[in-house]
Amino acid sequence: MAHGHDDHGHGSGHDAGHGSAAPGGHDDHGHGGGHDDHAHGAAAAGGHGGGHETHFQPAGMSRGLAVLVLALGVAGGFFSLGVTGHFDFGGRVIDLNDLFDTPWPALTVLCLPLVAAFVQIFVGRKLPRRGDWVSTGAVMVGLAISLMMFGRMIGIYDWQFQRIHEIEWIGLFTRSAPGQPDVTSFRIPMGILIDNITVIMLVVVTLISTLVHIFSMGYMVDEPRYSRFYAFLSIFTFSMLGLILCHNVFALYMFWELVGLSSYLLIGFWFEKKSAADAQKKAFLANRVGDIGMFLGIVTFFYFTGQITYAGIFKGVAEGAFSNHMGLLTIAGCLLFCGAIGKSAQFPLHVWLPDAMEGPTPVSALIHAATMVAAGVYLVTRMFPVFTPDALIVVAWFGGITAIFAATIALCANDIKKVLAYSTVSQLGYMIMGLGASAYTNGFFHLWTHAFFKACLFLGSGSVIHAVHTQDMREMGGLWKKMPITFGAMLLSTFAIAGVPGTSGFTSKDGILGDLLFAAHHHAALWPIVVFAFVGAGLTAFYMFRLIFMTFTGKPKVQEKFDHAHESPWVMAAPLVILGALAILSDKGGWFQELVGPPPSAASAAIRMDLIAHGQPVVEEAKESAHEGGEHESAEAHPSNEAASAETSTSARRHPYEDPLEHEKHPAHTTAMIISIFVAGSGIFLSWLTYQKKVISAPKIAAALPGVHNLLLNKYYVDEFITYFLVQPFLALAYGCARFDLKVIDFTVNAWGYFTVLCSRVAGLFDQKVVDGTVNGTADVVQSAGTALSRFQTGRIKTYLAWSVAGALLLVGGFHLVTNWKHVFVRRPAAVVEPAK
Amino acid sequence: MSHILSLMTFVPLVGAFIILCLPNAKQELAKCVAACAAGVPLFLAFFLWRGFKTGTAAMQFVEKVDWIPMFNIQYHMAIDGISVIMVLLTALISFICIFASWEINKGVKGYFALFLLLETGMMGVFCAMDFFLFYVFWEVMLLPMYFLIGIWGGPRKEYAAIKFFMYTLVGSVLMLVVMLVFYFNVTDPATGKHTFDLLILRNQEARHGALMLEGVRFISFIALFIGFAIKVPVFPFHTWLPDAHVEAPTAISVILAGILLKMGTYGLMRIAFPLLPDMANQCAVFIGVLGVINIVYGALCAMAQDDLKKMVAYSSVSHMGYCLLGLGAMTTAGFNGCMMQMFAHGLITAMLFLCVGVIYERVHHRWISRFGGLAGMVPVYTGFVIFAFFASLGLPGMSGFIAEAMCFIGAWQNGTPIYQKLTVFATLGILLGAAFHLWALQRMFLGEKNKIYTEQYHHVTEINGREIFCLVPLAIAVVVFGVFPKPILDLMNSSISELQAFVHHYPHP
Repeated sequence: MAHGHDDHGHGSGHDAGHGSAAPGGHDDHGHGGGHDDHAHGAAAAGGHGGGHETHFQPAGMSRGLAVLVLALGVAGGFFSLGVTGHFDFGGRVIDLNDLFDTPWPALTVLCLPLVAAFVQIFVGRKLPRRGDWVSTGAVMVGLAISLMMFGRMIGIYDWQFQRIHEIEWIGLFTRSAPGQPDVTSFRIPMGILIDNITVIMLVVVTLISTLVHIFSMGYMVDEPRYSRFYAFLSIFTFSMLGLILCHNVFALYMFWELVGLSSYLLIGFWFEKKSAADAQKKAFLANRVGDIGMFLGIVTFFYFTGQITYAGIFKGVAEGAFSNHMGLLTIAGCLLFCGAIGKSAQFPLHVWLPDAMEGPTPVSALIHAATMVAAGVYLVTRMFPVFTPDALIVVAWFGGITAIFAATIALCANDIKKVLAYSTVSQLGYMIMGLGASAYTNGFFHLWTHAFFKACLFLGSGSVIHAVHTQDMREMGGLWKKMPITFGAMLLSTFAIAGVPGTSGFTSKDGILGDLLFAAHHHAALWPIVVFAFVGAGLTAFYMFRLIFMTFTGKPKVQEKFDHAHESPWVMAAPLVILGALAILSDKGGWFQELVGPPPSAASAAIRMDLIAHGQPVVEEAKESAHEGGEHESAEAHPSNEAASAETSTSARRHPYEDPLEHEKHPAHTTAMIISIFVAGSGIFLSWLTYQKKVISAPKIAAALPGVHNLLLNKYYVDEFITYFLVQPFLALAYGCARFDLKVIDFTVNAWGYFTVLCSRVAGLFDQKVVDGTVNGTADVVQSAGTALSRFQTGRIKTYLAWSVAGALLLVGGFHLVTNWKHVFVRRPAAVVEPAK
Repeated sequence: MSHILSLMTFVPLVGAFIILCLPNAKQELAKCVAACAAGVPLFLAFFLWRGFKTGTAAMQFVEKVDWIPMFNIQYHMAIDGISVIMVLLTALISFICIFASWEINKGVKGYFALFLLLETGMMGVFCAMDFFLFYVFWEVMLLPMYFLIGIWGGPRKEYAAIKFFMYTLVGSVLMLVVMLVFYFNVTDPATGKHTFDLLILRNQEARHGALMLEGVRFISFIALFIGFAIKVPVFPFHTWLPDAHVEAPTAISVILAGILLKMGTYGLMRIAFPLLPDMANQCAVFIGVLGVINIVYGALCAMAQDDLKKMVAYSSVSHMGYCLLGLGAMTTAGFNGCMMQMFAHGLITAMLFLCVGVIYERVHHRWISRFGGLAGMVPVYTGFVIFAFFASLGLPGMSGFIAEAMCFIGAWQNGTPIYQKLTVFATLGILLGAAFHLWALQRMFLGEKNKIYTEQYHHVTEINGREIFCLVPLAIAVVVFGVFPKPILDLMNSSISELQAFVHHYPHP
């Protein structure tokens, strides 16, 4: 796999170490470039993807290091290519800056997986290796381009970097009056927005997607529907890339649902299992509930601002589009957040995520841990400027409740993937909580770090499941001897998620906690969240080390399974190594905090409130850029002007983001750090006591608190609640409607039919007996008149006459009614009513 | 090219006559003739599309000949942006349906002759610009449909056919009355004669007599609305639809849902709204409310069905509700959304009914609960069903989503609180829509094979080439116009914005 990129890795690896002016933003990559020489031996190991080595070799650790170095070298090569911005190709210097100011690199990243998906669907099975290289190659090229863009981002080092390319997609005309010229009233452009957030997300998605593709070569190799699996993965990658690249909320919604589709397809990959089929349906529907709210939020913003692009909406809100409807702005923000509740599995729509573990483990790592579920966090990050302080409090509360709620459930889960799933829910809660507490940078930062260590944990669990063929941690134990690489990578990631200092997870989580503490000082409604957050941090450390202890240390519980366990083949181990390293390294350098600063809050500009009181930093100079952001929209039309203006203005704005409240926040961060180290330490310690030393007996505690234990085992009965109070009533309503349709409406129709038939029968009878009888009778009368007229007086003639008279009256009356109906039905004389002009 | 509309309308009729003249034994030939006769309009439709000028609301491809001079009835065929979409859809769906009916072996000649007559009727309805002509085509369409359901239908075909016929006839009678009211109260300013010309009938200057009365206009609008609402079908008048759809043969269900239902909304846009704009404005909220009832009620009913075809039929009720919501919104986005939904639903529901037909042809039942685990046996067919279901539940990237979104946005843009509440309620429909589609998908295709009804699995074979040939063009259109709806929107937009301005800004300056 990596062969194609080796040249770059060697050729420009050194540039990464020395060539960039970025202050320490990419130590790891530079390091990788410097050690390229060691990588030769491992090239084969990293490169020959599908090899199925089943035995762990003694040289494992050194090969692990070699894989790491090779990968970092290759990555560093592309990265440095982006940083330097040009490419020396045998004397011909190719400038990449111009290329990267066009939408084509981003479009290539976006479209390659889609092409791969089509190839896989139509001819995948007939290709060599069932086509896995098509999908993997597509996303690898995407990764290479993303790394170049990432390098470029570090090279430019401007926290307001932004490029927008757009085309007209839907433009509807309206006329003010018939015959008047058309006026464009309804405009939905399509476009690509590239800024630092996009680039960071691109790297997250393509990197983890690549690693998961490689991992799946080992994990899914025995699958009969192997190529379809890769097709679905490609569809997912495409949708997710679309979601992060688009520049308007409408496209965001479209890709948002498409990732839902790919999630649906992948959760139900083993659709023969009823549980998988249930889970996929549940996931889609739970997401739809959130999506409805999000859609209404989008419609609200569109209605009030008339804009659908991020920049347009921010501008509209800042200019007071909601000035008469302030409450509605909060509601619109909350509606938008509904999408995040669904996609990022926040309480109470989190129920789908643990069930989604029915999908293959690589899918859980990619979609349900690192990327798709983080889309909700991305949404809040992206739309942050329109959230009013009140809306943010709502966001923070949802996140806080989710964080602690899921952490407690994870304490009692015995399925290794379920533990990780609830831990994902909990960590997503942290991100959401952070964003709600205006910890914009750190909330998003946690997305970045979490993506790596959680993907590592999931892939590690996949490796374990692959080895022991069970997901129940009670049947594992002592596996570290058999699977040292998996164990090492997972341990590093566990350190990260538990918040051990020095790891990436510590930095990001501590950032959230510190900002939260600071915000709570200014906003009392956040204090309970602070408590949730710190308790949750302790619980996280506890249950994650519980996982490690139950799985990897101690004595094997099921000897037979232990005996058959083995380290996974290199295609599976190599991604673990890389992700394990990133779990430690991904926060280093401080570039993230300097490149991702909170955008000017459009909501705050509109509300004109002192947001510092709510812990919301207001950046003065940033407000200007809101307008400049709008100007960038014309980039497609005037590329040269745009580039020129970017050139002149970047020199002025080429500074990192500095939090104006840095100093005020400092004490809060110190306090938060001390507390979080303490709670994490005690969590790990308690876990060690309970599951390693067995000093504390978990069953005894459970027996002492049966109510709590049951509550946790049954996940607070949320599923049951939803089943009995939402699903069943709706089903009952559906059956009720169907019965109503059949028994009432259709009955009425049929009754009318029968009534008509009855009427016609009566009429027929009448016709036969009375009218015809009369006619016949007349004939009889005429016939008999000559013989017995003088003495034969019957009622027949009377009847005839009576009917004639009645008929005549009816005719006359009817005629009168028809001719004079105006006077009958309408009282006003006709002449008075003139159509209003 | 100047008679392109007449050609598109009457070539199928000629085909029908040819088929009737063929000897009974030549069944295959009859089918080929039918395919050619339906192919010609499709072929011409490409030219129509290419020749159609966007950016103008004027009538195009006009053909105007005196037909019954005594009553000043004209053979007036023309299309604008509203008709052209429907004409294209009709040409496509009719052509596909010929191939969907290829396995018909009972009364082949009669079937295809009636089918082509039906196509003539449908084309005529969408092209006629003379109210009388419109009415004639409307009735022409009714007759073959009655026989197609009544002869080639399922077990309860007679009941379904008569129900369909009676319902539609009630609508026709109401329309006839209104037509006469207009005829006698409108004079062509140019000639001074009474007229049926729809373009003159909408001219407020040409009216006099009873039409000046608000009460008459109101009753006329209600009569027209009920007449078309039966066709849509709107909530209390919808029960003919499940029966007719379920009993009709596959291709006829496709035509029913794909085109005939659209005649209701088309009639509202072509006749009821422009002829009585003031009343349309007054009743707009009412129409929107009915739309929301359709959406939610239809989806709920669909969820409760065990017959797959009935479920699809009720999903049509639900989806036509979006059209009504868009129409009731009285905004450009809403009207465009309605039109887009008519087009998108025509494609999607055709796919759905074709998919239902595929499985019915194999196992001869459609009970959702008796299936299970089909995905493992027939992956390609499952793929098509998943595609159709997701298109139907409004997955972005498919044309149905664009339409639904535009209807919602249009309704919201109306700006009054009632419409915003309606929109919120209507969004429930997209949840319920997803629910019943996915539930059916799971019960039929996912999980394990049904343990009780095992015998049926012997008959389950993969979708064949002919069926794929029917589905693929629809699937392509669904995706293309879902990803890039601009071509379709451009076709309709000018005419629709003209209509919207005419109706919504009435009385005009």
